[in-house]
Amino acid sequence: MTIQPTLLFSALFAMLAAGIYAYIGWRLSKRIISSSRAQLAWGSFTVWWYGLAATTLIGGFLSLLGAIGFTSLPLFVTATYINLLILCLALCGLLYYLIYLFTGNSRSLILLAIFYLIYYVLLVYYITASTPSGVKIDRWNTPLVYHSQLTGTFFVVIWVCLLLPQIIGGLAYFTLYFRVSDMTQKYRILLVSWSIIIWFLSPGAALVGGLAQKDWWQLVSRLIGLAAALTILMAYLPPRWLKQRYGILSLNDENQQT
Amino acid sequence: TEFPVELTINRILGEEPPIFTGFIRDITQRKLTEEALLASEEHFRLVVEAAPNAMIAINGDGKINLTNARAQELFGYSAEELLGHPVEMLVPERFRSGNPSDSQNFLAQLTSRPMGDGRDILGLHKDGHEIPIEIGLSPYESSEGQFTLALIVDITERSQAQEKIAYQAYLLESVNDAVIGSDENSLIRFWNQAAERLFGWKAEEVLGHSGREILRSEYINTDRETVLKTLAEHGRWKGEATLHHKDGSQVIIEVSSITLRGANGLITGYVSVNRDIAERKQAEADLYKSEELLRLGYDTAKLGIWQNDLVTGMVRFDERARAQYGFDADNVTLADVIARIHPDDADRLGQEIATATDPASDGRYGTEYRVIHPDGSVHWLAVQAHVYFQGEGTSRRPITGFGTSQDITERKNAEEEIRALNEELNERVVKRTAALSQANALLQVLLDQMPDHIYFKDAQSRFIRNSRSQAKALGLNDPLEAVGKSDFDFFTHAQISFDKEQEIIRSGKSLVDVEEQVVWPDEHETWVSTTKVPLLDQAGQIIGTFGISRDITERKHSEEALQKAKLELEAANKELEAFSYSVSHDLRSPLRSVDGFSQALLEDYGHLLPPEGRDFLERVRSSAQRMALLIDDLLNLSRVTRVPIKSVPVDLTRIAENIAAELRRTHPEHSVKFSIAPNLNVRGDPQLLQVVLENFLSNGWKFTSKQEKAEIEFGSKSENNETVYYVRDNGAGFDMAYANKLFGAFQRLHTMTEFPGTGIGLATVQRIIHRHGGRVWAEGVVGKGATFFFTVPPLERIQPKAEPKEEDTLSKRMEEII
Repeated sequence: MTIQPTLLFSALFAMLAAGIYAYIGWRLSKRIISSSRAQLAWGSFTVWWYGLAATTLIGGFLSLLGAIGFTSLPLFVTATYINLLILCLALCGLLYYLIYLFTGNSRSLILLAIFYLIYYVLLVYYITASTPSGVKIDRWNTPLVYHSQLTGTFFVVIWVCLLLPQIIGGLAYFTLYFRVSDMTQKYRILLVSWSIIIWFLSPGAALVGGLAQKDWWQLVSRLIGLAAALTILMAYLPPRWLKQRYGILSLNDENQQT
Repeated sequence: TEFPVELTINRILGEEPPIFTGFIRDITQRKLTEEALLASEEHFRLVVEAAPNAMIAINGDGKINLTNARAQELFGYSAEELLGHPVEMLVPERFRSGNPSDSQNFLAQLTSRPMGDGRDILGLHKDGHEIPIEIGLSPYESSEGQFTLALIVDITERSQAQEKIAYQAYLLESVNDAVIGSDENSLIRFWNQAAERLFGWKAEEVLGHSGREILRSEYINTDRETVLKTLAEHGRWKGEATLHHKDGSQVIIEVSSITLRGANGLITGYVSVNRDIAERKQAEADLYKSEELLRLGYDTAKLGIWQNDLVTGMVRFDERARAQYGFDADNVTLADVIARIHPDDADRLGQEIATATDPASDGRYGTEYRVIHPDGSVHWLAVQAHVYFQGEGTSRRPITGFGTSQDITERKNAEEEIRALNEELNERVVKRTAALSQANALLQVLLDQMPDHIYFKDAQSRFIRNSRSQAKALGLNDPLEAVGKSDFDFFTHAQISFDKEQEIIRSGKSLVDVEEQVVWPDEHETWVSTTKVPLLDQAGQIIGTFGISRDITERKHSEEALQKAKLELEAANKELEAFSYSVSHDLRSPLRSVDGFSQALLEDYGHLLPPEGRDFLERVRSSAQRMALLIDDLLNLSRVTRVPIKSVPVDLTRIAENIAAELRRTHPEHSVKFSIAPNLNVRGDPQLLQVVLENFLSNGWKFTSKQEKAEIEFGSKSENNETVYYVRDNGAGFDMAYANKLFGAFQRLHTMTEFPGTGIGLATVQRIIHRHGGRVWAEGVVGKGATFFFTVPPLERIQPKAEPKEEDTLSKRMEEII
């Protein structure tokens, strides 16, 4: 049995990242919030992190299987369907958090749920219609091989629906930077918004720039994701020197005040 | 034998000597024929002569060839004057041009023309007057040639009759009344133009049809059978009926009908003359209405009418006037009337009557005066009268007076009341004005002295009046300087205040005790509690706002400090409770070990220990068990503080009965008489209330253990609109001096040897009752028992006060979830 080292690295990296994402979700879930509607929004934000952790873990698991040469098509297709469902759930949570923060409208969750349900159906259709015929053991991942992969407008719509709402939400989130005076809030907005923007912008840029299969990009993209997650974690749990220098509060500090 | 011959001799031309030819024809037969003809003509002449009608014969030249005595009589000519003369002499000049041609044409056609077939023409009498005649023409041939025999009938009488009929028909057609003729079966035979106008039907449409069906008569105050019966018996009937127009509308008419009878006396038909009386009826109705209105007017105005005969001195009343003056009779003397006049009005009335009866006046006068009825009641009358005079100049003198009178007592009384009310009102206005002045002065003092900011604003939120403190805060020396200005002249955040005030004006709802931070024009910041209410005018219309703002800066600071302290205290309490819970919980395990191993030591090695050693171990166990009990109670106490409280219906009676049964079962050696009132129901947390009753009843059970006849009663009573529940026992009781210590934790009024316990139970009870929003207290007498009282308020009183809805703003959301 030949083990593909890049795939193995990718799998281990993904598992590490999943653990970090889950840790972030857990730390954020400890935040004490009085308003029930705000609790829902914050809860959906933690769903994003847990979802991200789950989908990254599944991706890492598939990479690990690929690394050892196990390429069962039914297993990979099933895992892909599950992964996409979790991804839609996570995206819905992130976008709802951003929308609620901006509008205060808790009913938008229903509309978002419907949107992402439709989006998930489109994704399933995309996979099914493309007729998966096998699993390709690539250097950095183990994508499905399609008999007739759908391209064109449908393909663009899929990607736009995946990335654009989050990028727009991130940019809108960033505009709040200019509306707050509290240093802690400014600090968090800056870090969280640009982490999300860069995180979601990078796959699009790679797709457009044709970097997707470059080794260095595979590495960089993973580092971007991990860095973004760590940055967001740092947004809520700032290092001591930042706290002392700028008077920024961590979630723990806020919880204690509460 | 002789016989007649016809001889014809002719000369043959061209022959000399003349030669003659002669023809002889036997004309015997012809002569016989001619003689017969002559005889016939003579016969004809005799017949003509004897004819009752005028006859003339006209030859082919239009000349009269034959005439008879009747013709001569008709035209006034003798036979000689007629025979051989043109027939035109018998025709009026204006018709002569046509006559011969008619005759010629007639002769040419050789067709007969019977009587009546030709036109009626006029003949000309010898004396020049024209005679209406009818001519029948008949051609005949005689030995003298072709003739026309004219039979002439004098139709003067017939023409006159026809003219009369035509005239009568014209009259019938011309009358404005609808004339309808019908036969004995009521089929219409005559229908004049007025009938067409009145009923809308054309004659040709109704002739031959049943009048009953066409007109659908409905007789007023009678019926058809009666009408027909009257017509049959009396030959005529007159009345009113409602008939129907062609368009369906009703026509009110006056009907005059007569019966037509034949020579045999049988009814042959009816003629009815129908007159439209709608206008008359309307006029009658109008008149009736007018009279009715006049009567109603008099009735409504309650006018009485009277006449004063100034000659006889008698006064005549109608019924109402008689009542108004208080008389029984319709006729009284003027002196009687004057005697009824109120003394205060008598002179004035006398002067007014004197003026009105002055011959130089117009006789009209109107006045009001009082009359006194025999029963002593006084009535005000308003009188309008007119005096009539007779004669002119110096002989002019009053003869009678007519007048109307109206009882205006109620009006006068009302006027008097109004006057009194006006006086009272004026008095109240004066007092009110004084009160307002005083109130205004007080308000001014208030506005000048009150530290609170008081202000009145108009509908545009402009200041109307301000307190001095408000003016000072606004940076003004005099409150009047603020009048006409608004918050926009002083505050940068005026829009918020303006919007709230406009909402108050729009909705009429007040804002009460709204706490807000204000940045004053001098940039110092304060907290104020503001109450703003609609400012109403006298009619209750909102004309602005009135507000009071109290500086609560110090209070806010105190509250903040208090809140902070409260939070700190709550946190400390939570930590303490958590600590005590944790400690209690964690202590149980080692305690179980101490007790368990002590028991094991006693059981396994007890025989190796001296009695004193065993006694020590027993004491260790007893202490451990007591400590475990204490910990359990502490845990219970902690639990009742932490668990969320429910609010459901709770049957206290049932709970108490169950507890009593359990006590009897577990301690059968102790006999207690329980008296538990039925239907004690509250709303609360059933588990916590069970703990309350368990403590009370087990306490009662415990403290009555030394009583021979132990009794425990659980009941309720009403006190100050509140249901108070109580548990009473006749046990050891307590000294009321220690009543306030009963509900403290670890507080015990008896030793463990007297009555065992941890001293936590009543503390737990108090916490539970307090969590229900109720009260708990106790009364007791040493040796005679104790009574524990508690209340459990209704559901709504134990509901936690609803927290005000937090403002959902972006800044709040950012504060919460960024």
